[in-house]
Amino acid sequence: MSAPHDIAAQARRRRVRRVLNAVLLGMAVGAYTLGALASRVGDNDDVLPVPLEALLLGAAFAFSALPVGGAILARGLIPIPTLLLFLSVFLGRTEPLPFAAAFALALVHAIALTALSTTLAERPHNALLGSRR
Amino acid sequence: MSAVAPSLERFAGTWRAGFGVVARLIRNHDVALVVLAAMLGAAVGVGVVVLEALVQLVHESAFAIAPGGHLSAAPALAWWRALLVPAAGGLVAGLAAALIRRWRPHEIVDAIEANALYGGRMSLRDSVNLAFLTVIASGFGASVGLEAGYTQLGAGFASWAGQRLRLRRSDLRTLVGCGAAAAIAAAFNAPLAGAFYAFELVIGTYSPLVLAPISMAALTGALTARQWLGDQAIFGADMASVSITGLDYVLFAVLGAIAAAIGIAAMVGVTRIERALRRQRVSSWLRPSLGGIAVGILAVTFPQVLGSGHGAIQLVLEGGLSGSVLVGLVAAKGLASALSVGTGFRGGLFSSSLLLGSVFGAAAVLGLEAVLGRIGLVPDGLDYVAYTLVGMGAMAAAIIGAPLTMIFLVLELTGSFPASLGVMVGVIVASVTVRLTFGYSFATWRFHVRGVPISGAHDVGWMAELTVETLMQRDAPMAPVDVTVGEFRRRFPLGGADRVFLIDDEKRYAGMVLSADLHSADLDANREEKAAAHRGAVGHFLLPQQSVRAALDRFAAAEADELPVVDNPRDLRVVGALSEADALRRYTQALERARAEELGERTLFGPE
Repeated sequence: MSAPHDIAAQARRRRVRRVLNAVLLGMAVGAYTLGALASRVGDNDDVLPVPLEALLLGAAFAFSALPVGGAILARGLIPIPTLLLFLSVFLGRTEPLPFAAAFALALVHAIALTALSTTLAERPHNALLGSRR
Repeated sequence: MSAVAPSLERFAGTWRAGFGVVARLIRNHDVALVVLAAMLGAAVGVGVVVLEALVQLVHESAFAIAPGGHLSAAPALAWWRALLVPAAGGLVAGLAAALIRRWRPHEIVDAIEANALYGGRMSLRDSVNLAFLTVIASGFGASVGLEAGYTQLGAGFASWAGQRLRLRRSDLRTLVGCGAAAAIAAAFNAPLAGAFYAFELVIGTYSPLVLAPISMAALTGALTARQWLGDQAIFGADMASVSITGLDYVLFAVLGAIAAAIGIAAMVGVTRIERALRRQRVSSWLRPSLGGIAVGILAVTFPQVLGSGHGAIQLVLEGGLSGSVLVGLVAAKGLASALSVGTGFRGGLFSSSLLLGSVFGAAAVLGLEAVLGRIGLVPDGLDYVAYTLVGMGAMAAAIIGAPLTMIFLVLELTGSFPASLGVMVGVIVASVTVRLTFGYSFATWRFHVRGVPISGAHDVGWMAELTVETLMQRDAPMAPVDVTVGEFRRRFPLGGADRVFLIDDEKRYAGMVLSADLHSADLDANREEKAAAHRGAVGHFLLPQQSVRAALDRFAAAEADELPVVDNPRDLRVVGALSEADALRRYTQALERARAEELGERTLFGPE
């Protein structure tokens, strides 16, 4: 049995780890998006400078992956920009994908990022508190 | 028919006799072992060429790349092939692995585990199976390297040969190292890197005794592979004008530390993915195809993540990718490798870590140049190739856990001493960072996750074999628990047994008494007193299958010099006894023998 102060310290460490995970994965998402956007050719009518778009998506992902109340708002914002950005990636290549395929792949990216952020933001299960689950 | 049979028998007899002579020669002469290592190295070199040709064949047919081209650098890869082939490969790999598991339902022992726990004994059949699964994985574009397959096949073959020749435990371990050294040397055309791979990872130490066979195997492996693959370095870089300043060395150290962090993230990522899939209860045969789908999706955007990535490394060294794409590729390659290994594709992270590191190094140098150039710190710019190589070496050292191997690999690939010195800085910082913060290489991390109690290839198998059962005395002196002091004195006179174990009516262990205590003059007047009144170590006992280390811990806990050995904790039937002195003596002897074998000596002490 852990003493109460141990449990509090464990919970604090767990919180820090989750925040760190979210930030690191946000950086990875930003990096991945930056690379994907840079692989396009020609003018793609971007609303913002490409690095800023990647940075914003990474930051939104990191925030949406945090176990805090406001994260649900960020999670609601992620899918549409992700879909649009990656649609431009797949249609803006040297050899563009057919629209249906590009749309499907962009949708997969949007769903994957949203699902991953939802999973990361979930509050701890009993298993983390030492139960048998 | 009747005329043939005797001549066949004669031939078989001659063969057996000749084989026996060769086996004795190898057991008794170090030079013969070196010759055997050289022959095995050449054979492993051929094996590496065959595996590489098989993978190239699959690449050319499945991805329609140009003959002799590299998958990860294919200029015009059809998007649908990049998307679908890894998924199809995952299905094939999953089904093949499931079939093999049905036929041989146990974990495949690799070279490190074999040398640490099994005295170098590996199964050739398992090794061939694993090499086959690695060819499927890498052939169909999973983001894994072939090196794990090469080393498994090489080490497995060498172990098989050594077992046939009934070599000593230490020689068999050396041969396993020879097989792995030859495999890496042949794969990278780098004999020094191959030899140090064996010293650092497969043998666990360097000693003069293993130097000759391992170096010879690495040399013949590389020379044999050169006959088919050519003698040029597998990565070419313009090293003519490498210039490294004092500031560069500082930045190399920073790069090494960041590479270590990325390496740790990749290693942990593999485990997280495995755990997530297990939680979702996805069948093991289906997991690789899910991984293949994910890798395929990544490959549509970043085709460089496909396969081992040798072509992409060359592309990066030539500066063929923009800074932004390099940044994206760090994330994509790390994710693709973690997904591939985590979903069950067989293969290792050797090549993947080289690509991941080179991409990271290249992205870092472009970023640093932009930032430091703006403030005027690097008016002449930074050396792109040197930083790329530092990133490559540091990341691979962090993940593979073989720093010297990586330094020699870069030296052999580039022939540049200045670049190798820079790589040394990055590699050392990365290795130390991983050791202090994480404590595992990818291989030892996998052992840790599987619950295999080893931290490297050091031979600890003898310790598992040194059990209480092998050390105990079987004729333990026993007396009934209700024996009186007088009766005890009659049965166990002074000068006989030091300790006697008491047993109850059901023959269960009930404590231990010292003869000297019961023969004490203080008890002369109390001969009818029960001996059990003076017992100790009640509830303390050893079990036959316990290791000597566990036994020594039990002695310390019980504060006893001797303990009974009982058949099991429920029946408590005394089957023998073991003294701490005996356990310590045998433990020290075995430890000395193991250490002497590691150092290549018969004993730790010189002649008196």
